[in-house]
Amino acid sequence: MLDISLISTALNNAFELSALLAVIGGVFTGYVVGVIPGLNRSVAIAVAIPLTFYMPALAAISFLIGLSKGTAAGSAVSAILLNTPGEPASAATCADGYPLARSGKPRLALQVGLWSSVIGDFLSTVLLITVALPFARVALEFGPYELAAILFFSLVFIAGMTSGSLMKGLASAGLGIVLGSVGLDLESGAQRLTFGLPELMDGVPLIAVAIGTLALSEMFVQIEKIQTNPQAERIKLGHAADDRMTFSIFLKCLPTILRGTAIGAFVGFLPGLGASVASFLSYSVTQKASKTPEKFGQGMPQGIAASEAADNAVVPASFIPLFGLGIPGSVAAALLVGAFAMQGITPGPLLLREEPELLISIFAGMMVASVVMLLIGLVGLRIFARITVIPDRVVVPMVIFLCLSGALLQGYGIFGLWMVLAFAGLGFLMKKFDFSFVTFIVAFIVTPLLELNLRQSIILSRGEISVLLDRPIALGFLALTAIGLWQLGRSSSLLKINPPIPTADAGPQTTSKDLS
Amino acid sequence: MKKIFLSTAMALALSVTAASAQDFPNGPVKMMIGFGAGGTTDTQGRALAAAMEKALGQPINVVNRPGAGGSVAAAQIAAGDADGYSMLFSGGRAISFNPLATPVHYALDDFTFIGAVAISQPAMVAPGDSPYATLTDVIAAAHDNNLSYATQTTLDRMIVQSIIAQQELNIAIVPTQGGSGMVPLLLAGELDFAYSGGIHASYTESGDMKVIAALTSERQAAYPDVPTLMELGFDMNMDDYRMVAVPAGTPEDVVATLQTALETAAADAEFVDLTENTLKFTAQFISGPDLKEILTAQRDSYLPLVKTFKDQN
Repeated sequence: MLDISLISTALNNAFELSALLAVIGGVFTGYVVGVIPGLNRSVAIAVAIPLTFYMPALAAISFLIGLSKGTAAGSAVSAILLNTPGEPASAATCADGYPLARSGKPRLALQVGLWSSVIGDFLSTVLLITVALPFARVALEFGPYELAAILFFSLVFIAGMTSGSLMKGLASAGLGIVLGSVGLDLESGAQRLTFGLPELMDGVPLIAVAIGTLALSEMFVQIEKIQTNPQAERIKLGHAADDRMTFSIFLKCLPTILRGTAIGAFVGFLPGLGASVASFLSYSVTQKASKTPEKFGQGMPQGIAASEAADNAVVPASFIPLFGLGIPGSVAAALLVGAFAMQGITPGPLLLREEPELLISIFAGMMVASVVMLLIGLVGLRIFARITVIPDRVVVPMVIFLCLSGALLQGYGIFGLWMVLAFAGLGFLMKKFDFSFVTFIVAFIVTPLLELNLRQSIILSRGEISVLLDRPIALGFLALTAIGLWQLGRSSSLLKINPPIPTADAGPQTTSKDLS
Repeated sequence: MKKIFLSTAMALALSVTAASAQDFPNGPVKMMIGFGAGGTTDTQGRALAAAMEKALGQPINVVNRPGAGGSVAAAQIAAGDADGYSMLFSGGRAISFNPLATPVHYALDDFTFIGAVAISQPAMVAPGDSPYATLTDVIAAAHDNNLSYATQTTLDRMIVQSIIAQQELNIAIVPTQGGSGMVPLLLAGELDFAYSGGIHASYTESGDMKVIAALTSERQAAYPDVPTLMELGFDMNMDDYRMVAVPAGTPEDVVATLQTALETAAADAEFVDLTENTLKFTAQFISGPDLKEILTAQRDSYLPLVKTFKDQN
């Protein structure tokens, strides 16, 4: 059992200089990595793991966890200022962050993003500490039936938030589904759309799709803007009185932040759902619950809050199955397993019994990381807001270079680069012709997960659909999906999630598009 | 001025190419790992690289090239320069089995093996509270009951398929992705038994899982009472040798240098500690020529299996 002397030793260890430095260093590095488009969390962790080999266990783990947290906060910056998210989960932040920044309120956008990130992260960490060990097994209640139902629901719900015509939305989703099916068939090993390339046997690499469609394509858009409209207004980084987050704005965003945290924590807690879905789901739910849903996509602070709170809440929650059961709930957690192994520790159900001191020290370090994230973010805000002053001619080539480097770092070689370029082209066309690239990405990410869980369900139940009667959670989500589909078909006003490509006047725009 | 510059540049260029053929290695060496960062192969490869650096006297750059169960990296190395500056670290299965089941552009003979450093310990596992003590019990129950099995690799799937065909059993094969995909299903009781590449180590300690069959050719040190597949009457094993290989045609003296370095590294205390205590594999050095014999025999033993089940899939 845990006794006071154990806890106090653990806390002493956590506040030792080396551990604190590791946390601060991790969060700072993560934040910078998050800000730079093209670099993402998995690359950073993978590169950092060998470096931590020579650190003591607590410092190594704290560094890597700080890294995970920092990237989630930092990726909001590039999403808001450059419309290029640092990772797929931040793509939803672009939707309202970028228009808000463009309309002369970059600091407001950044502050909302930062506070949402920190609160989401902090609350989720508290959840991890209080819930992880006793209740990790609850995650086991969510088997393939439940996961398939939740994924199906997410797909329908998020895809329903498409812009413009229903047909275009379906086309984007369809394309995402087709590309998400590329790879080896789960049961037969048959090759689907791989064209005989071994590199595609595990599917189209997500990182190539993400960097290409989200980041690099945005650079193409910016290039076109520079060419056609060289006199376009830059974001004015003035000291406008309304370019600050006031307490009243914060209060308005608070319910959204709490809801986003809950959604993010839920998604992170279940191993096998994937973190990217959380922020989109949170955004869609917030939009639906809002009194002014049509304003989303034009600079609603709640949009930023929803996306960032969820995105950051996922990280600590995904460590719940890791510390409680030994099952990593996200890519970052899976990489952490390797880091633990290097230190001679295997995370598993016995981790608490075998390493209680270490675990408590890690938890303490995580709380410190949340605070550090806030401090670094506040400082970073001032510094990074100045990026808006740098001319596009300089920013665009730098970002392109960073995107391509990031792609290479993943280890897919030249093949990866070709993939990134191809998807950048696709993303550019989608943005130009107003096909929802968000729907595309969500469909692309969800499809393999959905297929896996669906087929597992069918095999386990041997095709007997009546097995669902014993599984109320799955039935519940299927019912929600049915409601969502019915509303989709009935409703003719579909809500905007992608802002139109901003033109010369940088003010918030009402769309002239016919909502068909 | 220009002439002096050009002639110096040429001299330098020529001297570099001349020097690289002698005194191997006289520059950094690349180790390509066929699996993603953070997994057991990656962790082990990096520890091995750290130990080999000391033995070789040159830095080793570790590069991950995941994909197709190690096949992408294997293909890359096989097609590369046979000068010893790029080596593959992977499970031997990528070379002995993958070319049989998937259309890849390499074969066992395209490699010169430097040696193996560890043998992984795959096993079949069941939930801790399962009524079945060994695989024999599972098979007995599967004649009349519907059971489910989780597969992770093509090889273990084919092995189970051949057992099912031999005995006419009712076993549904559920695909899972990696150990972390299998663990939640097994712990929740959705499955009766499953393949595990090694992730079961901490769960057998906690009692959440038990090992019902060893998939290695010899009994496993951690589970001495568990019979092997071969003992249970099935002439198959899934011994997976973590090994280092270079392209065929690499000069013999280069190979010899690498082999000496590998043998030293395999005995390195930290590497052995990681392999045996953390990953729970058997640390054992097998020389290149011996390894080639073992992998060739493995491949030949898989041929009839693949022939039967490849078209069925």
